[in-house]
Amino acid sequence: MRRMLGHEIYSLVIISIATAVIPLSREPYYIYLSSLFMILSIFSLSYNILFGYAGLLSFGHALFYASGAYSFAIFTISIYRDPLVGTLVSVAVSLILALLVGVLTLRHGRIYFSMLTLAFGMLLYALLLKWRSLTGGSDGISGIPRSGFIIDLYDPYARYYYIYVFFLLVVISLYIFHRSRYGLLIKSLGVNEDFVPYTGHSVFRLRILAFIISGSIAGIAGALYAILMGVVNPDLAYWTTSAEPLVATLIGGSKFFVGPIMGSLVFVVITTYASRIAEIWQLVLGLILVALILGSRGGVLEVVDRIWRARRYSGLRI
Amino acid sequence: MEGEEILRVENLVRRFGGFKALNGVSLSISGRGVTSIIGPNGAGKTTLINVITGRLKPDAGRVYFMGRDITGWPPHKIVRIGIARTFQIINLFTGLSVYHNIAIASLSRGNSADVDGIIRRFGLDEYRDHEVIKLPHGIQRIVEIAVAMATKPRLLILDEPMAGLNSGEKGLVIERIRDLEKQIPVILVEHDMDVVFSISRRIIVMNRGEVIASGAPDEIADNRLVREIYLGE
Amino acid sequence: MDLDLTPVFYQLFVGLYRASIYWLIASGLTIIFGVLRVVNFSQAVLLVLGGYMTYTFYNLTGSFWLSVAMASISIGLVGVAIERALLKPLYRVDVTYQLLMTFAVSLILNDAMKILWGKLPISVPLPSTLAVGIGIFGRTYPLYMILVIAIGFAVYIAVLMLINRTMWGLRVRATWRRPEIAESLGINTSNIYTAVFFLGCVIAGLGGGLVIAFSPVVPGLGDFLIVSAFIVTVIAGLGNLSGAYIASILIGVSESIFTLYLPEIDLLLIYLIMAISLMIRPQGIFGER
Repeated sequence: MRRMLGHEIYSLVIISIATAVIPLSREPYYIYLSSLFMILSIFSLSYNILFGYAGLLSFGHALFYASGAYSFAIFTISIYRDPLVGTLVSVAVSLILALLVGVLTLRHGRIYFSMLTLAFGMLLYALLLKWRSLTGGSDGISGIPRSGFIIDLYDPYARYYYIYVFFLLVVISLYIFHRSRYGLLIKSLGVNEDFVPYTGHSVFRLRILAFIISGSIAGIAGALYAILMGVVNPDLAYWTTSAEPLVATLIGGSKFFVGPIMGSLVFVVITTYASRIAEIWQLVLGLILVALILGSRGGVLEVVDRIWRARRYSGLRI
Repeated sequence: MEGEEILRVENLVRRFGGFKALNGVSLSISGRGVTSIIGPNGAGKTTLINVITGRLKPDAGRVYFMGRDITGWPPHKIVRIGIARTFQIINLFTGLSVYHNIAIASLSRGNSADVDGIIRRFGLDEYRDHEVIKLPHGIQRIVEIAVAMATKPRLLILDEPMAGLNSGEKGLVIERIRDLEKQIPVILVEHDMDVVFSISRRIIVMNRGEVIASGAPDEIADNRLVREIYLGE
Repeated sequence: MDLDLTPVFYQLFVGLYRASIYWLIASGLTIIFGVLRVVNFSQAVLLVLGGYMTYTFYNLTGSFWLSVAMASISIGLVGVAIERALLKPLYRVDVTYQLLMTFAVSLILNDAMKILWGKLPISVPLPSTLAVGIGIFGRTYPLYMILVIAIGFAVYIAVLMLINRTMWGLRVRATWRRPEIAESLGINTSNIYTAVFFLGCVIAGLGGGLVIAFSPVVPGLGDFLIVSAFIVTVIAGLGNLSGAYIASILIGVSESIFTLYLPEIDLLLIYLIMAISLMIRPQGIFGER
């Protein structure tokens, strides 16, 4: 398990400060991009608990993302109009969903798990698409309220810092988790799952734990998305959305805590600028992935790590 | 505690397709000390261990540990109830450090504070933060045993721990086993006869899925049936 | 009893047509998985690419069938390039990365098609001899769809024969899931891998050529088709060729019937079938091979 330890903390601090000061630029576009970056980071960090730690390749993570987004929308419109309560409801819904889906899918071997996640993700997509009365069908739900009884996010800057607070909360708690005993246990699944039972731990129970944590945090990302965009639509549950945190994590490096965050940065930058130039973000991402898979499966951060070690051991000043 | 029965196995049968790996195996382990299980390749030794430790389910027969029927229990439950094992081919979290390997195992016992104590007891201090995969083979075997002991077992099963070790490394492992056998009963599956005859209190001989002899080392050495099997090798 | 079953028969027929298209993707997925143990995520995108290439060849040659043939071979060659350059280096590494590589390839091809052919739907006109219908029990069935169904079946029989009745097929079967044994028998597994990948992609290319004559293709169609093809392969049992053919029919026909009678939940039912099938019998209805 490669950890850059001190360096990771530095990068986290830098990212936290940078995202905190973006709004000072008063550029709405940068604020928007930074919000997308934070939301994708949360989504990807949650994904890496399954992928990097537990060695589970999920093709249906958007299930929790979409359920978070939709439950936020439906709850704040129909039941109680407040973003904070809505966010908590999203977490609760995603958590319960994670428990249910986890129990059904995690008993199986890894390949079947992957296929089942695809099925369940698309199942939600179908539900969101067809259940017009509840979800608005292909039109989705728009006009999601930002002003609430407890918290008012009408102001775009307030929205930004709301997202920012959750970003910090998720990063800090997941970092603590990553260094904790439960983090270690779940990572053992990714290292040598066959050996885990002989150390006295139940693979199934550890997987469920990972799945619940992962799912609930993805739900937060979904709720924040609903707040940012004000609309939700069924594509949020499509398998291509599930691919986003996977791509981001691969690019950044799944073996590093900061990996999903770095990857999200690259992902957001490329999809925005490649789109601006010629709508070729899939091409660019695909090429980056090919390069990384062939050259550096630990992602961009592994490349950085290698350069760093080379510097230290050869005494070269690069 | 000589008479206390730790493990009892009754008429275990296990087939793989048409092949009977275990053909009605029964045995009983009581008290401390090393009980070795020997036999030619394919005799069913590892299959027996796999059934006892939950890696395989038997087609027939029962396994009792401390009086409890543990037949068909999943491996992690069997570890929790007190049976720990090592593997023929080294099975560890090779990408993690010695410390983390032992920590993970001791976490199933709730208290992780023990880890450095275990490291010290097994003489692994200098390897504490090293990745297991980078360690010499003999040290890896000792880490395996340390990890197994970290689960605070009441029975330890070692599956061919001498495989692939040079004589110096074997010496180290034998030393460890001699320490351990004073604390808990040990089952040793081994091919190295020198080791087996020097440390065992009792030897069980298997062939073709059956137990064909059981007794003290000198009894087994004199046993005609056993000699036939081994001379034929 | 005045029950008009004609719409049902027609839906069954349409279902068989869709099944054939899924089959042309699933067959490639199956043989590639069986031999290389790789899930080729880009299989559906390659079919779509086959459609686009057919369009270009058609503009060059004016002959429909020639264009389809050329496109199939071209896609086969694209497959060879992918397998040699991108998958071969990964054979010793975790299988996950091969899957991720094919996913990356699908991303690249998706945009490549957008760049080369634009975003608007493209189609190729049916040859006039085929653009007719056949009347059966008062309903007109497009001849072309019958032809596609026939071709799908022919591909099934051809691949089955190829694998079970030829010397080459014997070598493929030896390599199927047991490459170490094949190697020790002196079989050049590396070449087998490439050949099988080639074959799978040729079939996908063929599928694309057939599709584009009947319905327009757009980039992104691959993202949609891969899911159904996946469901088929998974329900059948990974690597099971005959199972995949039957499963294609089951899924294609079910989709069609559901669309007619249960449009509210048609999509839901298909994914539900996949989920339940995986949970109850993960190795597939017909078992893995």
